Amino acid sequence: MSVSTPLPARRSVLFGLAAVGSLTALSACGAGSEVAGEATGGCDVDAPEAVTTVNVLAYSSTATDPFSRAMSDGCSTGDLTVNLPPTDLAGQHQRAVQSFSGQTASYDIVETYGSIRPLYADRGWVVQLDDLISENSQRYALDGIDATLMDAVAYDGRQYTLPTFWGVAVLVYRRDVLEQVGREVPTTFAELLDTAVAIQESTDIAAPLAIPFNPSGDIASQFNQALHSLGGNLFADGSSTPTVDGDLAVRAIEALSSLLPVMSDQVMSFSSPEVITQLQTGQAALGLLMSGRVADLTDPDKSRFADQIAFAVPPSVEPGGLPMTYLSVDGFSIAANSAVDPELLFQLACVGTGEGAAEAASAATIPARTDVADAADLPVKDAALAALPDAKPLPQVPYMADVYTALGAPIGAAVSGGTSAAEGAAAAQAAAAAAVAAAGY
Amino acid sequence: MRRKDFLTLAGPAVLLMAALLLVPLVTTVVWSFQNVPVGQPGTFTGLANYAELLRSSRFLNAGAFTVGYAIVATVLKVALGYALALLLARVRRGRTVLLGFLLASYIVPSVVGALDFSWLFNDVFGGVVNRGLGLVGVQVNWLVDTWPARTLVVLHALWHEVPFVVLVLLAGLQTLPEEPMEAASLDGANWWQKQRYLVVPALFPVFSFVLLISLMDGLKVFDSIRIMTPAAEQLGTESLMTYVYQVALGDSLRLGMGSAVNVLTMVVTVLLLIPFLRSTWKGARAL
Amino acid sequence: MSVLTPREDLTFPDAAHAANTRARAAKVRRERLGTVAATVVVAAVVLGMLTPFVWAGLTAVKPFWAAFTNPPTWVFTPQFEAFGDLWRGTHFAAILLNTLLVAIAAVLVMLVVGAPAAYAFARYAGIIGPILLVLAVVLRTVPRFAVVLPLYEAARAVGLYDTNVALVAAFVAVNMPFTLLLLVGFFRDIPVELDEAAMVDGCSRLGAFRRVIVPVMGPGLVTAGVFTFLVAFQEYLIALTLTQNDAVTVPVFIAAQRGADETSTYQLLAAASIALVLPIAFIAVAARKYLVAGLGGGAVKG
Repeated sequence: MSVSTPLPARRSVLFGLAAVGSLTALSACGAGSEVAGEATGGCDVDAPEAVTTVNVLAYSSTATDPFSRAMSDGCSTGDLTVNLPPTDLAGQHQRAVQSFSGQTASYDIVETYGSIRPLYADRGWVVQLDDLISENSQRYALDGIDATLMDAVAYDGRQYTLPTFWGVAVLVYRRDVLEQVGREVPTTFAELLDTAVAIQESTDIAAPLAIPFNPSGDIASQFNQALHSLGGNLFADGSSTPTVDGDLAVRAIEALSSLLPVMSDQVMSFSSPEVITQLQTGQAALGLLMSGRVADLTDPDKSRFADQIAFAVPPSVEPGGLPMTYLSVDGFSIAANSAVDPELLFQLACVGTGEGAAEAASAATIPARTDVADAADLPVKDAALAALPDAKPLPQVPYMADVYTALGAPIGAAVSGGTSAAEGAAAAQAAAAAAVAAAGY
Repeated sequence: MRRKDFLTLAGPAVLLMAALLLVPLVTTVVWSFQNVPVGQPGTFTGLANYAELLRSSRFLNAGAFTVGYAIVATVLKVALGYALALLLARVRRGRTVLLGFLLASYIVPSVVGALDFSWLFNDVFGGVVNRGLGLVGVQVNWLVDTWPARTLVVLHALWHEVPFVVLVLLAGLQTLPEEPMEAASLDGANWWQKQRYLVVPALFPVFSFVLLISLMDGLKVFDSIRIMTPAAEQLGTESLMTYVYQVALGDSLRLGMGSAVNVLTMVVTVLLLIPFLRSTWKGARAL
Repeated sequence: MSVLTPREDLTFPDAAHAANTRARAAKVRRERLGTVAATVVVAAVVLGMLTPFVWAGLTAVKPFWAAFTNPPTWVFTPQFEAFGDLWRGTHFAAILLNTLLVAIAAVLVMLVVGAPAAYAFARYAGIIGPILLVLAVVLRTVPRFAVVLPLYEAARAVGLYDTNVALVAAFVAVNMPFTLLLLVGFFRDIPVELDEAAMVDGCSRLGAFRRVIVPVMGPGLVTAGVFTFLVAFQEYLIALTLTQNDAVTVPVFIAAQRGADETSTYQLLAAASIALVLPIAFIAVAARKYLVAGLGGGAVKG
């Protein structure tokens, strides 16, 4: 017989109330008290006539927050409320797609980055900004945004995004370690390998080089950069035919493989967090990272080697080639299905990409506004600006994200030695072509 | 019970499930026969999605891994959970304290639980597991080699879900009447015989429930793989759900294909669960 | 007076009886040893299971430069900035409170809607009962991805997007099959005579359920309640889809802290996992009578 004991009612209810009560009391004492950032640069938008709520979709990071918060904290006054719900990178894309594909938008201003921007533009999910730009250029000093970057984010010759910040891949190195082995900053892969071997032999750093090689996405980026360094391209000019087989692609893969002996055994699982950590803890002395992620490396609270970290233009795969890098630009776009006046949204986006926001961000990343970037006191700035002329963004085609994902597995297998470089290139070509077809192009 | 009473009492629950679960199920099935670009109505394409899937080695690999993983993880979960429940039933003082702490790994959401778990196995972050293994001269590249990565995923499943099994089995164990056990002892039965002939058969419905839920959840594995081994396709830890995520909600947003994968996943699940469905049916009919 | 208490008035003609007493004493000793051994083993296992959290806790209190070294740093001065940042620098506390609210509401709704339904399934003899039950199991196989987009559309259409109401409805619906399966077993255990006695006394079926059955069902309801409660803390995809500003729950918040491929928030994440584990373990320990009543009584019987 299953006997039940009667619930000890009163005591547990009292206890429950006490728990909730103490939690509420605790939250009263300082919870969330330091969340709101300071409004920087004011908010020059035309106040809306009716009560208006604007929702901004942007993943949180040290790079994006200053721009997003310039809108959410800086502009929420009077009848206008600007919300910035917490989101991560993957969640941002998912929420964006949901919002765009519905009748009404859940998010009015959306942060966009290189591979998904053309996708949104191609589907007509984001508003074309050319007219708005020319009308508002003077008021918001939009010509202060670097023209190269405006070109880099254009799709089909039209603007759909206002750039916030940009980044390029840079070489990170430890000054003291290079001194110790008597080497200059490497400018080619051969020199990079040589320097790393020297470090292996003369110091106790066993795996001196760290690069994000994870097949879930990073390896495709490295492959793209290596291909560019050799003068190649992911697609044949102006067409949707991938060109990731052939001699250049094979050489790119082989170049990446050649670096394995001076990298950790685990390097195929590395994304940027692992590379950053290796450099911060002294497990590595050389690394390739995007400039937007290196701020912590020079923070003495985060690393004991912070004062020895320096940056340079990345080496080229072969002598005389372009540096191994690429350009990534983030920005804000306006949802086409938003119920809010696009004029107001554009003005907000201008504030979000304005000088105040740029200044606030210049401690963590390189803003798109050239003069603010020049004046910024960011250690990586010089290397990034030096690499910028040779850095190209990912091809702005709507199937870029699909191809990018599709390249990961075959290139990863080839670089790690699971398949030969030629096989890998061929598999990558097939996968890329299939991805383009599957995406409907 | 009269039909009218049944409808009143069960009505709200059935309506809720129908509205929020049955409707998506029907939508999914319909979409699986269409090509559905996100935000637009679909165009009928018949069995094209299924044909493409069944020809895709990536899908078949993901399916094979998912089924294998679900079965292995379930068997291990139930075996270990049962052992732990038996031990916990013997514990007199501090049983609920131990149970409370045991539940910690079940409670924490996997978005952070999987991260914490993977840190132990990640050398870059000072992972202690390889340090410990290093003491006996073993080095395992958990995040880079296929079978270690698969083992890692299974280990995480055990860590996360054995507490659930323990909770349910312990509840079952505590309701077992004592007399048959004592009678068996007097007859000279040893522990193993008591388990085999008395305890397990008496707990058969409880085991059935736990196996059912574990298998189902195993086939739906997603979070832990995405967090611990994001390069799932290349590593060989890709599951049906991570595959769907990339296909339907990731880049190409092909809802038709994604729906086809969902339908196939459901079919595989139901097939694996047939024995349990039969016993649920029989149990419900035995009134 | 236990079997071990010596009796002075025994004259011991019966050697077998004495031997029996000694055997029983030995048995009790063995059982005590067994209990102690079991406790030790379980404690060791629990400690092992807590290792990731211990590690996260250590990581959160180390100075950042020492947190991720390889080999690990064992000597350091603890700092609690990560917890301070979590509590003051983010809306963690408010979100935790909101998640608690949703969890409690989900438990209440689940019990009010699910318990009568399970009772009906347990007592009704028609064919539709088993059909619906099997259908419920099949509905539980529907992957989350199939459910989220329709849920999003529905919530927007009805105007319940980003509300706790929508979350509660979604959590209850998605976990209804599980709860039904769990509770049907409990209800079948209760003898039909109980119902009949109540109805003879003039109760309607619903009245019988409320007045007679529910009090006996305490344990089953608690078990179902515990599982439903946990759903609000674990469910990520549905919360991601249905919430935005107002109804954010803990899993979505924690995921958002991962930022983009950088490590600056790693200590915050570690602090968040400890901030979740400690209160729940504390509640479990402090509310053990509640749990014992719940787990000691019923069972999932077919």
